[in-house]
Amino acid sequence: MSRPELTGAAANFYNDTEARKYDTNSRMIGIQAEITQRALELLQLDDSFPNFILDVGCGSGLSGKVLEEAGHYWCGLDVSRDMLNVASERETSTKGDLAHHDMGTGLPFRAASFDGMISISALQWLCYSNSSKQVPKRRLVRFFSALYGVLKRGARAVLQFYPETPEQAVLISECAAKVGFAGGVVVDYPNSTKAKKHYLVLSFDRGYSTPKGLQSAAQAGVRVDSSGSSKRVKVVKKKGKGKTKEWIEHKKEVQRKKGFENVRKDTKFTGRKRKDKF
Amino acid sequence: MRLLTHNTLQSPLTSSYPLKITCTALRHIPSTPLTTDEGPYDFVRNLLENGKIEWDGVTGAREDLKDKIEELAVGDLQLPSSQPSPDSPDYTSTLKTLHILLLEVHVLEGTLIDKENGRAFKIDNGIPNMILLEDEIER
Repeated sequence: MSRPELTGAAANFYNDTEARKYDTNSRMIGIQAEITQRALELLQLDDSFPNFILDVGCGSGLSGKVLEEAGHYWCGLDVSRDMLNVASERETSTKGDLAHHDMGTGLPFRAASFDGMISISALQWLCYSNSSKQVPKRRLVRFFSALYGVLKRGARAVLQFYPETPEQAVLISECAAKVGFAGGVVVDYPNSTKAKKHYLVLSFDRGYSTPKGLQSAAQAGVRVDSSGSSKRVKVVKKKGKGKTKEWIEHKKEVQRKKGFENVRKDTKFTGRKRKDKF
Repeated sequence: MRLLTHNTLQSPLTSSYPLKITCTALRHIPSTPLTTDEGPYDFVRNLLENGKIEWDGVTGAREDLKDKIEELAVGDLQLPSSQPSPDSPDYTSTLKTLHILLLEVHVLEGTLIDKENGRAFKIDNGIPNMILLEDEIER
């Protein structure tokens, strides 16, 4: 599957037709709702009263719908005006509000305004530059430092994103760690290509350790703590021994038995390594 | 745009707060279920008691929208000039006013104006445009 991030700015990709498609696609609705549920679970909110949640990259409001069902008020930001137009047509939205903004330029809110923050499938857009003036790392840091400001102390943020490469996941978590967040990336279903989801869980609490990702089998994950030391559990592909002398001789023997005529003779050069300079 | 959002918004350029509202279209959308005199106002109460509502922001917005609010016919939505304490006699009615003002009144068309440098952010179809121009973004 090609990545929409590579085709240009989010505001251009999610135009009117694309936004409407997105909002009515039942597969998309299901996935977004499921991810938002999981994000809420990771957010560990105090459910005894309605919370005020910031939704960055709210799109057509699919995630906001889940927040409302959970009884929370929310404020959504998105860079695509067409997505927001679709969201504002949603009549059921009684607890949400929208604003048109680019998260790479900071967040236009007062300090400590929100009880929590979620972002569904949006963060990876910051890793791409659409003009010479956009530096991904600078945009990421600006976003995270603004986020650090607008959350109330003790709040958490959960950002689900699709990293193109493991390096992107590391870059994102490093930028978050740089501004003072603790936390890390939770990977759900790491062994499934389709169900695999990355959640960056951020907290103010230095001693915060991220919850375990959901999994069907074994787990591999990315973790970054506030100290900035990143450790990646890399799945090392098991390397075979390669074509050894025994392997070659065995193969030739098999071919001779099969009756092939052009099998090279075994000589002292068989299976020998060439000199490096060759 | 609800006034709750206005209450949390500040200028992305100068961090000036609160933003001045000029408004050409205002709408009252009652929340569901309909609020009664008793509430539930737990959301507003919680915001207020945790100091998350900037009182000057609310009264300022109330002042900016004075004429339009009168046209809405939802009462005059008067608020005390300073933040009331939970044991003041008309606390519940203040909460109700606050609930209507912050959550049920929507600014559909208008502008938000940064009081420091006069930069206007347009509100179109209820969505404020806080996007910065290329040359306004600090490097």
